[in-house]
Amino acid sequence: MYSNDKSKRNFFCLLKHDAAIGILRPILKWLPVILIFAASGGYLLAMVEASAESGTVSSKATLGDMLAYVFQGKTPYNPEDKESFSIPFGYLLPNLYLAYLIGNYPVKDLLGTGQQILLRTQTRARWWLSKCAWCAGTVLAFYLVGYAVMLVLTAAGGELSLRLTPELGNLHGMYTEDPSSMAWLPSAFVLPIATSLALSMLQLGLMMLIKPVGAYIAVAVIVSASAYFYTPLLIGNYSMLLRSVHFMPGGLGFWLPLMADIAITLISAAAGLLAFRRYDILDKA
Amino acid sequence: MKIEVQNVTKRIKDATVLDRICLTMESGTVYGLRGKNGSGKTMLMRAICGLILPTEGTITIDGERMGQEISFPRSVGALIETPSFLPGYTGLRNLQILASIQRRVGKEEIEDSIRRVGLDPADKRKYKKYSLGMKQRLGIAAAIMEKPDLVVLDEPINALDEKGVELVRDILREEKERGASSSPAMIKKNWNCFRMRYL
Repeated sequence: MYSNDKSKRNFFCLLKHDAAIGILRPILKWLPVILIFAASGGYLLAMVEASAESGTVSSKATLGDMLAYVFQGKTPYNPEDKESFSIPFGYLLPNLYLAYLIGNYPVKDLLGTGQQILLRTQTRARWWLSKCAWCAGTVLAFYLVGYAVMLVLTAAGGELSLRLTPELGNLHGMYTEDPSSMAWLPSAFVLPIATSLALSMLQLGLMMLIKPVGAYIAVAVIVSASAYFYTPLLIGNYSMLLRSVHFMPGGLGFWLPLMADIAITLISAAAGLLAFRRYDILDKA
Repeated sequence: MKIEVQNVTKRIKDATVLDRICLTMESGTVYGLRGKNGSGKTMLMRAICGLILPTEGTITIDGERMGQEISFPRSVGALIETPSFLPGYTGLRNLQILASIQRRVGKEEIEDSIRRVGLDPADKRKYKKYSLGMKQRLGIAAAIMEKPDLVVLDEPINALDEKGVELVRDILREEKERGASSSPAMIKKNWNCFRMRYL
Protein backbone atom coordinates (compact mmCIF):
# COMPACT_ATOMS: atom_id res chain seq x y z
CA MET A 1 0.00 0.00 0.00
CA TYR A 2 1.13 3.52 -0.69
CA SER A 3 1.58 5.64 2.38
CA ASN A 4 0.40 9.24 2.41
CA ASP A 5 3.98 10.49 2.48
CA LYS A 6 4.87 8.41 -0.52
CA SER A 7 1.79 9.62 -2.39
CA LYS A 8 2.64 13.25 -1.66
CA ARG A 9 6.25 12.76 -2.72
CA ASN A 10 5.09 10.94 -5.77
CA PHE A 11 2.74 13.77 -6.71
CA PHE A 12 5.41 16.37 -6.03
CA CYS A 13 7.76 14.54 -8.42
CA LEU A 14 5.04 14.59 -11.06
CA LEU A 15 4.52 18.32 -10.60
CA LYS A 16 8.25 18.88 -10.86
CA HIS A 17 8.41 16.82 -14.04
CA ASP A 18 5.51 18.69 -15.63
CA ALA A 19 6.90 22.08 -14.62
CA ALA A 20 10.33 21.22 -16.00
CA ILE A 21 9.30 19.45 -19.18
CA GLY A 22 5.98 21.14 -19.89
CA ILE A 23 6.75 24.74 -18.91
CA LEU A 24 10.44 25.52 -18.45
CA ARG A 25 12.09 23.20 -20.96
CA PRO A 26 10.32 24.49 -24.11
CA ILE A 27 11.76 27.94 -23.44
CA LEU A 28 11.54 29.06 -27.07
CA LYS A 29 7.78 28.63 -26.98
CA TRP A 30 7.66 31.57 -24.58
CA LEU A 31 9.34 33.94 -27.00
CA PRO A 32 6.13 34.54 -29.02
CA VAL A 33 4.35 35.38 -25.74
CA ILE A 34 6.84 38.17 -25.17
CA LEU A 35 6.42 39.31 -28.77
CA ILE A 36 2.61 39.27 -28.63
CA PHE A 37 2.46 41.40 -25.48
CA ALA A 38 5.33 43.61 -26.63
CA ALA A 39 3.63 44.23 -29.96
CA SER A 40 0.32 45.10 -28.33
CA GLY A 41 1.78 47.30 -25.58
CA GLY A 42 4.39 48.81 -27.89
CA TYR A 43 1.69 49.78 -30.36
CA LEU A 44 -0.07 51.80 -27.67
CA LEU A 45 3.16 53.55 -26.71
CA ALA A 46 3.87 54.34 -30.35
CA MET A 47 0.36 55.75 -30.80
CA VAL A 48 0.73 57.92 -27.69
CA GLU A 49 4.12 59.16 -28.85
CA ALA A 50 2.78 60.02 -32.30
CA SER A 51 -0.15 61.85 -30.72
CA ALA A 52 2.21 63.71 -28.37
CA GLU A 53 4.28 64.85 -31.35
CA SER A 54 1.18 66.15 -33.09
CA GLY A 55 0.18 67.88 -29.87
CA THR A 56 -3.14 66.04 -29.36
CA VAL A 57 -1.92 64.33 -26.19
CA SER A 58 0.18 65.79 -23.42
CA SER A 59 0.65 62.85 -21.06
CA LYS A 60 2.37 59.50 -21.22
CA ALA A 61 0.58 56.16 -21.20
CA THR A 62 0.34 54.57 -17.76
CA LEU A 63 0.58 50.90 -16.84
CA GLY A 64 -3.19 51.06 -16.35
CA ASP A 65 -3.64 52.37 -19.90
CA MET A 66 -1.52 49.54 -21.20
CA LEU A 67 -3.41 46.91 -19.23
CA ALA A 68 -6.69 48.32 -20.48
CA TYR A 69 -5.44 48.44 -24.05
CA VAL A 70 -3.95 44.94 -24.10
CA PHE A 71 -7.03 43.33 -22.52
CA GLN A 72 -9.63 45.55 -24.17
CA GLY A 73 -10.96 42.88 -26.54
CA LYS A 74 -13.58 44.29 -28.85
CA THR A 75 -16.76 46.29 -28.52
CA PRO A 76 -19.82 44.15 -29.22
CA TYR A 77 -20.37 43.74 -32.92
CA ASN A 78 -23.79 44.39 -34.32
CA PRO A 79 -24.28 42.73 -37.72
CA GLU A 80 -27.02 45.25 -38.45
CA ASP A 81 -24.49 48.07 -38.36
CA LYS A 82 -23.06 49.09 -41.68
CA GLU A 83 -19.53 48.59 -40.42
CA SER A 84 -17.94 45.30 -41.34
CA PHE A 85 -16.57 43.05 -38.60
CA SER A 86 -12.93 43.87 -37.88
CA ILE A 87 -10.87 40.97 -36.58
CA PRO A 88 -9.59 41.77 -33.07
CA PHE A 89 -6.06 40.42 -33.44
CA GLY A 90 -5.03 41.84 -30.07
CA TYR A 91 -7.62 39.60 -28.43
CA LEU A 92 -7.39 36.54 -30.67
CA LEU A 93 -3.62 36.14 -30.90
CA PRO A 94 -2.84 35.72 -27.18
CA ASN A 95 -5.78 33.37 -26.72
CA LEU A 96 -4.96 31.22 -29.73
CA TYR A 97 -1.31 31.08 -28.80
CA LEU A 98 -2.13 30.07 -25.24
CA ALA A 99 -4.30 27.27 -26.66
CA TYR A 100 -1.29 26.23 -28.74
CA LEU A 101 0.87 26.13 -25.59
CA ILE A 102 -1.69 23.93 -23.88
CA GLY A 103 -1.70 22.06 -27.20
CA ASN A 104 -0.77 18.45 -27.02
CA TYR A 105 1.77 18.21 -24.20
CA PRO A 106 -0.31 15.91 -21.97
CA VAL A 107 -1.07 13.48 -24.78
CA LYS A 108 2.46 13.68 -26.17
CA ASP A 109 3.76 13.07 -22.67
CA LEU A 110 1.57 9.98 -22.39
CA LEU A 111 3.04 8.54 -25.56
CA GLY A 112 6.59 9.11 -24.42
CA THR A 113 8.28 9.27 -21.04
CA GLY A 114 4.93 10.04 -19.47
CA GLN A 115 3.90 6.43 -19.93
CA GLN A 116 6.83 5.28 -17.80
CA ILE A 117 6.03 7.98 -15.27
CA LEU A 118 2.39 6.99 -15.17
CA LEU A 119 3.27 3.36 -14.41
CA ARG A 120 5.40 4.56 -11.52
CA THR A 121 2.88 6.99 -10.09
CA GLN A 122 0.41 4.12 -9.77
CA THR A 123 -2.79 6.12 -10.15
CA ARG A 124 -4.36 7.83 -13.09
CA ALA A 125 -5.95 10.45 -10.84
CA ARG A 126 -2.59 11.73 -9.61
CA TRP A 127 -1.29 12.00 -13.15
CA TRP A 128 -4.39 13.92 -14.19
CA LEU A 129 -4.21 16.30 -11.23
CA SER A 130 -0.62 17.02 -12.08
CA LYS A 131 -1.64 17.86 -15.64
CA CYS A 132 -4.35 20.19 -14.29
CA ALA A 133 -1.70 21.90 -12.16
CA TRP A 134 0.56 22.11 -15.20
CA CYS A 135 -2.32 23.72 -17.13
CA ALA A 136 -2.87 26.31 -14.38
CA GLY A 137 0.88 26.90 -14.19
CA THR A 138 1.09 27.46 -17.92
CA VAL A 139 -1.75 29.99 -17.83
CA LEU A 140 -0.21 31.83 -14.89
CA ALA A 141 3.23 31.86 -16.50
CA PHE A 142 1.67 33.18 -19.70
CA TYR A 143 0.14 36.15 -17.88
CA LEU A 144 3.19 36.72 -15.71
CA VAL A 145 5.29 37.02 -18.84
CA GLY A 146 2.67 39.39 -20.26
CA TYR A 147 2.61 41.56 -17.13
CA ALA A 148 6.41 41.62 -17.02
CA VAL A 149 6.56 42.79 -20.64
CA MET A 150 3.99 45.51 -19.96
CA LEU A 151 5.88 46.58 -16.85
CA VAL A 152 9.15 46.86 -18.75
CA LEU A 153 7.51 48.76 -21.60
CA THR A 154 5.80 51.20 -19.28
CA ALA A 155 8.95 51.68 -17.23
CA ALA A 156 10.81 52.45 -20.43
CA GLY A 157 8.32 54.72 -22.16
CA GLY A 158 5.37 55.42 -19.91
CA GLU A 159 4.32 56.02 -16.36
CA LEU A 160 4.17 53.36 -13.67
CA SER A 161 0.67 54.10 -12.46
CA LEU A 162 -2.50 52.05 -12.65
CA ARG A 163 -4.72 55.07 -13.33
CA LEU A 164 -6.37 55.46 -16.70
CA THR A 165 -5.47 58.62 -18.59
CA PRO A 166 -8.74 60.22 -19.77
CA GLU A 167 -7.21 61.96 -22.76
CA LEU A 168 -5.97 58.60 -24.07
CA GLY A 169 -9.54 57.33 -24.25
CA ASN A 170 -9.68 57.91 -27.97
CA LEU A 171 -6.47 55.85 -28.37
CA HIS A 172 -7.18 52.84 -26.23
CA GLY A 173 -10.92 53.09 -26.58
CA MET A 174 -11.54 52.80 -22.85
CA TYR A 175 -13.88 55.48 -21.63
CA THR A 176 -14.92 55.40 -18.05
CA GLU A 177 -17.02 57.81 -16.05
CA ASP A 178 -14.48 58.01 -13.26
CA PRO A 179 -10.89 57.61 -14.50
CA SER A 180 -9.55 57.76 -10.97
CA SER A 181 -11.62 54.74 -9.96
CA MET A 182 -9.75 51.46 -9.74
CA ALA A 183 -12.93 49.36 -9.82
CA TRP A 184 -12.05 48.03 -13.27
CA LEU A 185 -8.72 46.53 -12.17
CA PRO A 186 -10.08 43.18 -10.91
CA SER A 187 -11.73 42.73 -14.30
CA ALA A 188 -8.39 43.45 -15.96
CA PHE A 189 -6.23 41.32 -13.69
CA VAL A 190 -8.46 38.44 -12.64
CA LEU A 191 -10.95 37.79 -15.42
CA PRO A 192 -8.49 37.29 -18.29
CA ILE A 193 -6.57 34.76 -16.18
CA ALA A 194 -9.71 33.02 -14.91
CA THR A 195 -11.21 32.86 -18.40
CA SER A 196 -7.97 31.58 -19.93
CA LEU A 197 -7.77 28.95 -17.21
CA ALA A 198 -11.36 27.86 -17.90
CA LEU A 199 -10.70 27.64 -21.64
CA SER A 200 -7.43 25.79 -21.09
CA MET A 201 -8.99 23.29 -18.71
CA LEU A 202 -11.81 22.78 -21.18
CA GLN A 203 -9.19 22.11 -23.86
CA LEU A 204 -7.35 19.71 -21.54
CA GLY A 205 -10.56 17.84 -20.77
CA LEU A 206 -11.53 17.68 -24.44
CA MET A 207 -8.14 16.17 -25.24
CA MET A 208 -9.20 13.10 -23.32
CA LEU A 209 -12.24 12.72 -25.57
CA ILE A 210 -11.04 13.91 -28.95
CA LYS A 211 -7.67 14.42 -30.58
CA PRO A 212 -5.55 17.36 -29.36
CA VAL A 213 -6.06 19.15 -32.66
CA GLY A 214 -9.84 18.80 -32.26
CA ALA A 215 -9.62 20.25 -28.74
CA TYR A 216 -7.58 23.16 -30.09
CA ILE A 217 -10.11 23.83 -32.83
CA ALA A 218 -12.97 23.74 -30.30
CA VAL A 219 -11.26 26.39 -28.16
CA ALA A 220 -10.39 28.47 -31.22
CA VAL A 221 -14.05 28.39 -32.26
CA ILE A 222 -15.20 29.50 -28.78
CA VAL A 223 -12.66 32.32 -28.71
CA SER A 224 -13.49 33.49 -32.25
CA ALA A 225 -17.23 33.22 -31.70
CA SER A 226 -16.84 35.24 -28.49
CA ALA A 227 -15.32 38.08 -30.49
CA TYR A 228 -18.27 38.05 -32.88
CA PHE A 229 -21.16 37.41 -30.52
CA TYR A 230 -21.73 39.35 -27.35
CA THR A 231 -23.32 36.84 -25.02
CA PRO A 232 -22.42 35.56 -21.54
CA LEU A 233 -22.80 32.04 -22.92
CA LEU A 234 -19.51 32.42 -24.76
CA ILE A 235 -16.89 32.71 -22.07
CA GLY A 236 -14.38 34.54 -24.22
CA ASN A 237 -16.55 37.61 -23.61
CA TYR A 238 -15.54 37.65 -19.93
CA SER A 239 -11.95 38.60 -20.66
CA MET A 240 -12.79 41.59 -22.85
CA LEU A 241 -12.66 44.81 -20.85
CA LEU A 242 -14.65 46.69 -23.49
CA ARG A 243 -17.59 44.41 -22.71
CA SER A 244 -17.35 44.82 -18.96
CA VAL A 245 -19.72 46.95 -16.97
CA HIS A 246 -16.87 49.38 -16.24
CA PHE A 247 -16.55 50.43 -19.86
CA MET A 248 -19.93 49.56 -21.34
CA PRO A 249 -23.31 50.40 -19.78
CA GLY A 250 -25.09 47.11 -19.11
CA GLY A 251 -21.87 45.20 -19.73
CA LEU A 252 -20.71 42.08 -17.93
CA GLY A 253 -19.99 42.35 -14.23
CA PHE A 254 -17.15 40.74 -12.32
CA TRP A 255 -18.57 38.05 -10.06
CA LEU A 256 -20.87 36.19 -12.42
CA PRO A 257 -18.19 35.72 -15.10
CA LEU A 258 -15.72 34.71 -12.39
CA MET A 259 -18.12 32.12 -10.98
CA ALA A 260 -18.80 30.81 -14.48
CA ASP A 261 -15.04 30.56 -15.14
CA ILE A 262 -14.49 28.67 -11.89
CA ALA A 263 -17.41 26.35 -12.62
CA ILE A 264 -16.12 25.57 -16.12
CA THR A 265 -12.63 24.97 -14.75
CA LEU A 266 -13.83 22.56 -12.07
CA ILE A 267 -16.31 20.74 -14.31
CA SER A 268 -13.69 20.34 -17.04
CA ALA A 269 -11.16 19.00 -14.52
CA ALA A 270 -13.68 16.53 -13.11
CA ALA A 271 -14.95 15.44 -16.53
CA GLY A 272 -11.37 15.07 -17.75
CA LEU A 273 -10.55 12.88 -14.77
CA LEU A 274 -13.54 10.63 -15.47
CA ALA A 275 -12.55 10.39 -19.14
CA PHE A 276 -8.91 9.71 -18.29
CA ARG A 277 -9.86 6.84 -16.00
CA ARG A 278 -11.12 5.03 -19.13
CA TYR A 279 -8.56 6.50 -21.52
CA ASP A 280 -6.61 3.95 -23.56
CA ILE A 281 -2.95 4.78 -23.73
CA LEU A 282 -2.00 3.58 -27.17
CA ASP A 283 0.94 4.42 -29.36
CA LYS A 284 -0.97 7.04 -31.32
CA ALA A 285 -2.91 10.07 -30.15
CA MET B 1 2.70 -12.75 -7.91
CA LYS B 2 -0.18 -14.16 -9.88
CA ILE B 3 -1.67 -12.53 -12.94
CA GLU B 4 -5.03 -13.77 -14.11
CA VAL B 5 -6.44 -12.67 -17.42
CA GLN B 6 -10.03 -13.79 -17.68
CA ASN B 7 -12.05 -13.58 -20.89
CA VAL B 8 -10.46 -10.31 -21.85
CA THR B 9 -11.86 -8.69 -24.95
CA LYS B 10 -10.76 -5.31 -26.17
CA ARG B 11 -12.51 -3.42 -28.90
CA ILE B 12 -11.13 -0.20 -30.31
CA LYS B 13 -13.69 1.51 -32.48
CA ASP B 14 -14.95 -1.35 -34.67
CA ALA B 15 -11.91 -3.57 -34.37
CA THR B 16 -11.61 -6.38 -31.86
CA VAL B 17 -7.95 -6.35 -30.88
CA LEU B 18 -8.23 -8.93 -28.11
CA ASP B 19 -10.82 -11.64 -28.22
CA ARG B 20 -11.72 -13.53 -25.03
CA ILE B 21 -8.15 -14.05 -23.85
CA CYS B 22 -7.65 -16.24 -20.80
CA LEU B 23 -4.30 -16.95 -19.21
CA THR B 24 -2.65 -17.22 -15.85
CA MET B 25 0.94 -16.27 -15.12
CA GLU B 26 2.88 -16.88 -11.98
CA SER B 27 6.11 -15.70 -10.44
CA GLY B 28 9.47 -17.05 -11.41
CA THR B 29 8.64 -17.82 -15.00
CA VAL B 30 9.43 -16.04 -18.21
CA TYR B 31 6.44 -16.08 -20.53
CA GLY B 32 6.61 -15.49 -24.23
CA LEU B 33 3.77 -14.33 -26.42
CA ARG B 34 3.72 -15.49 -29.98
CA GLY B 35 1.32 -14.72 -32.79
CA LYS B 36 0.80 -13.16 -36.17
CA ASN B 37 1.15 -9.45 -36.72
CA GLY B 38 -1.91 -7.75 -35.33
CA SER B 39 -2.93 -10.72 -33.20
CA GLY B 40 -2.91 -8.55 -30.10
CA LYS B 41 0.37 -9.36 -28.34
CA THR B 42 1.23 -5.76 -27.64
CA MET B 43 -2.36 -4.97 -26.69
CA LEU B 44 -2.34 -7.78 -24.14
CA MET B 45 0.88 -6.41 -22.66
CA ARG B 46 -0.64 -2.94 -22.50
CA ALA B 47 -3.71 -4.36 -20.80
CA ILE B 48 -1.61 -6.21 -18.22
CA CYS B 49 0.28 -2.98 -17.53
CA GLY B 50 -3.01 -1.10 -17.09
CA LEU B 51 -2.41 1.20 -20.05
CA ILE B 52 -5.59 0.04 -21.75
CA LEU B 53 -8.71 -1.24 -20.08
CA PRO B 54 -10.55 -4.34 -21.28
CA THR B 55 -13.93 -3.81 -22.91
CA GLU B 56 -15.00 -7.11 -21.35
CA GLY B 57 -13.36 -9.48 -18.93
CA THR B 58 -10.99 -8.88 -16.05
CA ILE B 59 -7.32 -8.75 -15.28
CA THR B 60 -6.36 -9.35 -11.68
CA ILE B 61 -2.94 -9.14 -10.12
CA ASP B 62 -2.62 -10.91 -6.81
CA GLY B 63 -6.38 -10.77 -6.53
CA GLU B 64 -6.64 -7.02 -7.13
CA ARG B 65 -8.67 -6.08 -10.17
CA MET B 66 -7.03 -3.73 -12.64
CA GLY B 67 -9.04 -0.61 -13.36
CA GLN B 68 -10.92 -0.96 -10.08
CA GLU B 69 -8.79 -1.76 -7.04
CA ILE B 70 -5.57 -0.81 -8.79
CA SER B 71 -4.84 1.28 -11.88
CA PHE B 72 -1.49 -0.35 -12.59
CA PRO B 73 0.44 -3.32 -11.24
CA ARG B 74 2.02 -2.28 -7.95
CA SER B 75 5.52 -3.06 -9.12
CA VAL B 76 6.08 -3.17 -12.84
CA GLY B 77 8.87 -2.35 -15.26
CA ALA B 78 7.85 -2.16 -18.88
CA LEU B 79 9.24 -1.58 -22.30
CA ILE B 80 6.35 -1.49 -24.71
CA GLU B 81 7.11 -1.01 -28.38
CA THR B 82 9.71 1.71 -28.85
CA PRO B 83 11.51 3.17 -25.85
CA SER B 84 10.86 6.83 -25.29
CA PHE B 85 12.88 9.18 -23.13
CA LEU B 86 13.54 12.88 -22.88
CA PRO B 87 15.76 13.67 -25.85
CA GLY B 88 17.71 16.48 -24.23
CA TYR B 89 19.02 14.46 -21.28
CA THR B 90 21.66 11.74 -20.93
CA GLY B 91 20.64 8.13 -20.39
CA LEU B 92 21.60 8.33 -16.72
CA ARG B 93 19.65 11.54 -16.16
CA ASN B 94 16.58 10.05 -17.84
CA LEU B 95 16.65 7.03 -15.56
CA GLN B 96 17.25 9.25 -12.53
CA ILE B 97 14.13 11.23 -13.39
CA LEU B 98 12.09 8.03 -13.58
CA ALA B 99 13.63 6.65 -10.41
CA SER B 100 12.91 9.88 -8.53
CA ILE B 101 9.19 9.12 -8.62
CA GLN B 102 9.28 6.04 -6.42
CA ARG B 103 12.75 6.42 -4.95
CA ARG B 104 13.17 2.70 -4.69
CA VAL B 105 16.69 2.84 -6.08
CA GLY B 106 19.61 5.22 -5.79
CA LYS B 107 22.23 6.39 -8.23
CA GLU B 108 24.37 3.26 -7.81
CA GLU B 109 21.59 0.87 -8.72
CA ILE B 110 20.65 3.04 -11.68
CA GLU B 111 24.24 3.00 -12.89
CA ASP B 112 24.36 -0.75 -12.38
CA SER B 113 21.29 -1.28 -14.52
CA ILE B 114 22.82 0.86 -17.26
CA ARG B 115 25.98 -1.25 -17.13
CA ARG B 116 23.90 -4.43 -17.19
CA VAL B 117 22.53 -3.52 -20.60
CA GLY B 118 26.00 -2.74 -21.90
CA LEU B 119 25.86 1.03 -21.77
CA ASP B 120 28.18 3.43 -19.97
CA PRO B 121 26.51 5.45 -17.21
CA ALA B 122 29.19 8.13 -17.60
CA ASP B 123 28.31 8.63 -21.27
CA LYS B 124 27.63 12.36 -21.66
CA ARG B 125 25.77 12.01 -24.93
CA LYS B 126 22.16 13.06 -24.87
CA TYR B 127 19.46 10.46 -25.57
CA LYS B 128 18.71 12.00 -28.95
CA LYS B 129 22.25 11.14 -30.04
CA TYR B 130 21.83 7.46 -29.12
CA SER B 131 21.67 4.80 -31.82
CA LEU B 132 18.51 2.67 -32.06
CA GLY B 133 20.27 -0.19 -30.27
CA MET B 134 21.40 2.09 -27.45
CA LYS B 135 17.87 3.44 -27.06
CA GLN B 136 16.55 -0.09 -26.84
CA ARG B 137 19.14 -0.99 -24.21
CA LEU B 138 18.25 2.08 -22.17
CA GLY B 139 14.57 1.09 -22.40
CA ILE B 140 15.43 -2.33 -20.96
CA ALA B 141 17.52 -0.71 -18.23
CA ALA B 142 14.54 1.46 -17.27
CA ALA B 143 12.31 -1.60 -17.10
CA ILE B 144 14.59 -3.55 -14.76
CA MET B 145 16.33 -0.87 -12.70
CA GLU B 146 13.83 -0.83 -9.85
CA LYS B 147 13.82 -4.62 -9.60
CA PRO B 148 10.08 -4.81 -10.24
CA ASP B 149 7.95 -7.82 -9.48
CA LEU B 150 6.68 -7.84 -13.04
CA VAL B 151 8.80 -7.14 -16.09
CA VAL B 152 7.00 -6.62 -19.39
CA LEU B 153 9.21 -6.42 -22.44
CA ASP B 154 7.68 -5.98 -25.84
CA GLU B 155 10.07 -6.87 -28.67
CA PRO B 156 13.08 -6.43 -26.38
CA ILE B 157 15.63 -7.44 -29.00
CA ASN B 158 14.50 -4.96 -31.63
CA ALA B 159 17.48 -3.10 -33.07
CA LEU B 160 19.94 -5.12 -30.99
CA ASP B 161 23.01 -6.80 -32.40
CA GLU B 162 23.88 -10.42 -31.58
CA LYS B 163 25.70 -9.42 -28.45
CA GLY B 164 22.72 -7.38 -27.38
CA VAL B 165 20.37 -10.32 -27.94
CA GLU B 166 22.57 -12.49 -25.73
CA LEU B 167 22.59 -9.74 -23.15
CA VAL B 168 18.79 -9.62 -23.06
CA ARG B 169 18.65 -13.37 -22.69
CA ASP B 170 21.08 -13.19 -19.76
CA ILE B 171 19.13 -10.36 -18.17
CA LEU B 172 15.91 -12.34 -18.39
CA ARG B 173 17.59 -15.35 -16.81
CA GLU B 174 18.96 -13.17 -14.03
CA GLU B 175 15.59 -11.57 -13.51
CA LYS B 176 14.00 -14.97 -13.32
CA GLU B 177 16.55 -16.07 -10.74
CA ARG B 178 16.26 -12.86 -8.78
CA GLY B 179 12.55 -13.10 -8.78
CA ALA B 180 12.28 -16.81 -8.09
CA SER B 181 9.54 -15.71 -5.77
CA SER B 182 8.22 -12.84 -7.78
CA SER B 183 9.33 -12.09 -11.26
CA PRO B 184 7.26 -13.08 -14.21
CA ALA B 185 8.62 -11.45 -17.33
CA MET B 186 6.86 -11.29 -20.61
CA ILE B 187 8.53 -11.15 -23.93
CA LYS B 188 7.45 -11.53 -27.48
CA LYS B 189 9.99 -13.88 -28.95
CA ASN B 190 10.15 -17.60 -29.37
CA TRP B 191 13.04 -18.56 -27.19
CA ASN B 192 13.09 -22.19 -26.18
CA CYS B 193 13.72 -21.61 -22.51
CA PHE B 194 10.45 -19.75 -22.01
CA ARG B 195 6.86 -20.78 -21.74
CA MET B 196 5.07 -19.74 -24.86
CA ARG B 197 1.56 -18.54 -25.28
CA TYR B 198 0.01 -18.36 -28.74
CA LEU B 199 -2.49 -15.65 -29.54
